[in-house]
Amino acid sequence: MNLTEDDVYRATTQYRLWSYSPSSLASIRDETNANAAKRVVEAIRRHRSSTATNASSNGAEPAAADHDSTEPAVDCLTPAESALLLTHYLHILLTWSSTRHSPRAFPFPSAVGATAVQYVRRFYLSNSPMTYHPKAIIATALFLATKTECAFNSVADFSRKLRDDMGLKKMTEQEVLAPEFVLTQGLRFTFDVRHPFRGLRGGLIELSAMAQGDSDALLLPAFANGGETTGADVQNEMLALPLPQDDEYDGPSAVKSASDLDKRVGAAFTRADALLQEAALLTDAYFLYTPSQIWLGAMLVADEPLTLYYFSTKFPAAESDEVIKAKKAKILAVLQACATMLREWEWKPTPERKEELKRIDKKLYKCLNPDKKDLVGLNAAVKRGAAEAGASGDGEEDNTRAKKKRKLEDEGDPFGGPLESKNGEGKKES
Amino acid sequence: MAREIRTGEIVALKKIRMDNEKEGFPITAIREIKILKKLHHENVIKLKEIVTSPGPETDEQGNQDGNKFKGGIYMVFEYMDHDLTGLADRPGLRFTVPQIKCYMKQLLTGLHYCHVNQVLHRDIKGSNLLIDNEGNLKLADFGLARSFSTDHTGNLTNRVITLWYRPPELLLGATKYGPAVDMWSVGCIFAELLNGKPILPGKNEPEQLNKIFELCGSPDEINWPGCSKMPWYNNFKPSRPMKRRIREVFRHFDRHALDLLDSMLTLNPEKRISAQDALVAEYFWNDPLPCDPKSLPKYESSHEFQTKKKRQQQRQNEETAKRQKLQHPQPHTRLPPIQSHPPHWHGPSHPVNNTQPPVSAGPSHHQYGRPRGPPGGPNRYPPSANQSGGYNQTRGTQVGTYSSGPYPAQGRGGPPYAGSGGMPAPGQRGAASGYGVGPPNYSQSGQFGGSAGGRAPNPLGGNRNQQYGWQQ
Repeated sequence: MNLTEDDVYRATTQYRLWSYSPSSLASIRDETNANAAKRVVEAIRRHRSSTATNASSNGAEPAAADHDSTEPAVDCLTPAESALLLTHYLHILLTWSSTRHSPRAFPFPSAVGATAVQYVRRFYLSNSPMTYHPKAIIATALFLATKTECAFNSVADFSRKLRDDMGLKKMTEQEVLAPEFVLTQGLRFTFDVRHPFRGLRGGLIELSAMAQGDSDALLLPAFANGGETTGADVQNEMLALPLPQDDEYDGPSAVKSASDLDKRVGAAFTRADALLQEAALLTDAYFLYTPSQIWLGAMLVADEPLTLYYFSTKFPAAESDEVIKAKKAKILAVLQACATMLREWEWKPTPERKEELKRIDKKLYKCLNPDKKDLVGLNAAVKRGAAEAGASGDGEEDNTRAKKKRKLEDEGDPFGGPLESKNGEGKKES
Repeated sequence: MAREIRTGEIVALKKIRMDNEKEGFPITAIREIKILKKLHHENVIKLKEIVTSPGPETDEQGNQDGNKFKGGIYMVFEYMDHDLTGLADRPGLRFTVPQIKCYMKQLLTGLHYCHVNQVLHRDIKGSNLLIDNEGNLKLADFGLARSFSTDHTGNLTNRVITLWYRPPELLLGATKYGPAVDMWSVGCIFAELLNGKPILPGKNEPEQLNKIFELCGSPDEINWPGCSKMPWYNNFKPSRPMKRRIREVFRHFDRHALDLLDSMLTLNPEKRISAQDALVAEYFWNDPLPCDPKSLPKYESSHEFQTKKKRQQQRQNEETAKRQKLQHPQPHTRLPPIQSHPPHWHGPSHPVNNTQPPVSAGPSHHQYGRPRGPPGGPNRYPPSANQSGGYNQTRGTQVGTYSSGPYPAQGRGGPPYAGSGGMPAPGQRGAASGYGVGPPNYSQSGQFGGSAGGRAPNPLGGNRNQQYGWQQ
C-alpha cells in the first residue's frame, strides 16, 4: 500500500466537495443569494397577506394581492453585504473559541474554532444569512466542532459558558441545539476539515533541523540526488540568505550564527501561525487552496527568502531540466497567490465598518425570512412529531413568533446579543 | 434494507435517532460518519451516503432543508450478506484453512489501511466483520472508532472493545494506546477461527484478565516493561507468576499459524505484531495459500424479512432446544476448521463456558431470536455486545440510545462491553434524496489487495452507549 500525502488529501471530502475555483465560488454565492432573496420576498408577502386575511374577514385572494402592491418592496442583502456580515460573526466565533483570541474564551485547541469557522463558511455557501441569521448558527457550529474535534462539552456547560463569559445572557441549550441538524445537512454530513497547522509545525521542525546543520534533515530530492551537499552546506546557504524586505519582519536584524538562524526560523513560524489562526480562516483560503499551499503561503508572507530557499530544496538541483522548472513555477504561482490573499487580509474595527455593519444588521432585520426566524420552535415542532406538526402546529408557531417579535420590538434592538459582544470586543482592542 | 430506485441496488440502512438526544446529533454517529467518509477501501464497509426522510423544502442550492425533516436520518451502507460470527456459527459449516487465511488476510489488509489512516477501530470482533457472497470481508461498525495521531497527548477511554477481544493494556487501565489494541482482537478472532470457539470468554474484567494471564502468562517488567505502573495493575496482578501456554494449548495448530498467533497475543503492546507485519508473516505465504475470495462457497443469504417464515420455524426449534438444554447441557456446536485437529483445549480453567444453546438450523447469523441466558450467564456471546439477540428490531437499530442489552452486574459502574448490536433498519423506500458523496476512483489494491467489493445490506451494529460514546 503506497499512499502519498496527495493521495490521502484527494480522498478527503474537503478536496472532493469543498474545493473551488474563485469563479465557481463567486457564482455559487451569487446564486445562493438570488434564490434566498426570491424566497424571502415570497415568504414576506405570504406573511403579510395572511396577516391581512386575519384582519379582514373577507380574506379573498384579490384583496391580498392589492394589499401586496401597496407594501414597500423588500430590500434584500447583496452578496457583498452577506459576506461582510458573515465575516463579522465569524470573527466573534473565533474570539469565543480560543484563549489566544480572548482570555475568557473556551480553552479549546485551535482546531476546534478553526473547524467551526469552516463549518459556518461551508454552510453559507448553500444558505443565506437572510434565511438563517449567522448569530443563530455560530454557537451551534462551535458546539458541533467540539464533537468532531474531540473536545466535547455537554450542551449544558457549553451554553452556560456562552451566557456567563461571552455576554450571550439569554442563550439556552435549545438555541444551541436547534440549528444543529440544519447545519449538519448544509455541511452534507462532511465533518472532516483539514487544517494547515500540523503542516506548519512540520515545516518548523524541518527548517530548525536544517538551521542546525543536521544532515538527517536532508531527506530531500535536491540532496538525495548528488549526495554531495552536507548539513553544513545547507546551514551556510541559509546563513547567506537575504533578510525579508518588509516592515513586519521581527526576526534578528543580522543572521550570523546558527542561533540567529534559529531565531529567524522561529520568528517566521510565529508570524505564519498568526496568519493561519485568523487570515487563513476568515478568507476563502480553505476553499481555494490545499492545507500545504496555505501554510507555505503564510510562510512566504512571513519570510519570503527563507521560504523560497526551503521550497527550492524540495526539487532536484538540476536547474536545466525544463519539466522541473515548469513545475516549480506553477506551484510557486499558486503559493504566491495564496500569500497575497493572506497578506491583504485585515479586519480592524474602524468606525466606518461598525456603521456599515449596523446598517446591514438593520437591513437584515427587515429581510430575514419569517419562516425561519424561530429555529427553536421549528425544531420543537419536528420533535413533536410529523403528524401533529400539520395544520394546528402552524398556527401555534405563528403565535409564538408574533409574540417573540413583539417582545423583540419592545426591547428596541433585536440583535442585542451579538452587537454587544462586538462592542465589547472593540473596547478590548482599543 | 432498502433498494436504490435508480440502480435497483440493495443497500443497508442504519438509523440515527435524533429526537431523544440530549446532546443533539449523537457524537458516535458523527465520529462514524467522519471516519467512514475518510476511508475508501475494499475491506472497509462503504458508507454510500446519508439520507433523510423526505422533506419538501430545499436550501438555496436545491439541497434538502432540515427544518421540515420528519425524524429520520439514515446512514446508507452497501449490503453485506453475512458476518463472520454468523457464518462460523452455522451448524455443520467448517471453514477450510485457505478460507481462514483468505478472511484473515482481508481483515489485516482492511485494518492496516485504517491504521495507516490513523483510525483505531476499537471494536474488532466477528460480528463486525461482514462478508458478502463474493467472499469479500469488510470491517464495519465504526461507532467506537476514532482518529489517533502519534502526537496526540489526550487520554483515550479504555472502555472500548468487547470484553472477550479486549487487550490486557485496556483491562489494566491504559488511557494511551494505539493500533496494537486492534491487533489483540485480531489475534483472538484468528484463534477462534482455528479453534472453533472463542478462546477468552471472560464474564467480567477480572476474569477476563485472569484468562489472558492463564493463556499468555503473567505480565512482568521483563516481558512488558512498565506494566507494573499501569493504573490497575495492583488490583489485578496475578497472585502467582504464570507461564505462557499459548504454544502448549494450541499445539495442534499449524506451526506458522502458531507463530503468527503468538505474535498477535503478545502482552506488551509495543511488541505486538502490527497489521502490516502480520500480512507478510510466513503463514500467508506457505501452503495452503489463502484462496481467492471469489472461489469461496456462496452461503444462503439470511436476513430478517427475507426469511420470516424460516425464522419462526427457527424460534420454535430454539424453544425446543432450550427446554432440552435445561435438562441436558450440550457441548459447544461450532466446529473447528477442516484439516485441523479436533480441539483439545477446553479453556484454561472455565470449561463451563463452553456450553451454549445449540444453534438451530436455518439462517441466523444475526442471532435473531437466539435465546439469551441471564446476564453473565453461560451464554455463547457476551451479552449486549453486537448481538441484538431476541430483541425487537426497532430497538436494535437506534443509534446513540442506551443499549437495551443486559449488563452483567459488576463493579466500577459500567458495562464492560463495547457497543451493542444492530441490524438493518426497517426499509425505507429510497425516496429520500441524499447527499451522498461518491467515493472517488481510489484503488487500493497493491500488494495485499483483495478483490473488488460486492453489494449487500450490512447488519451493521447500531446501539452505542452514548454514555461512553463521547469519551475520547
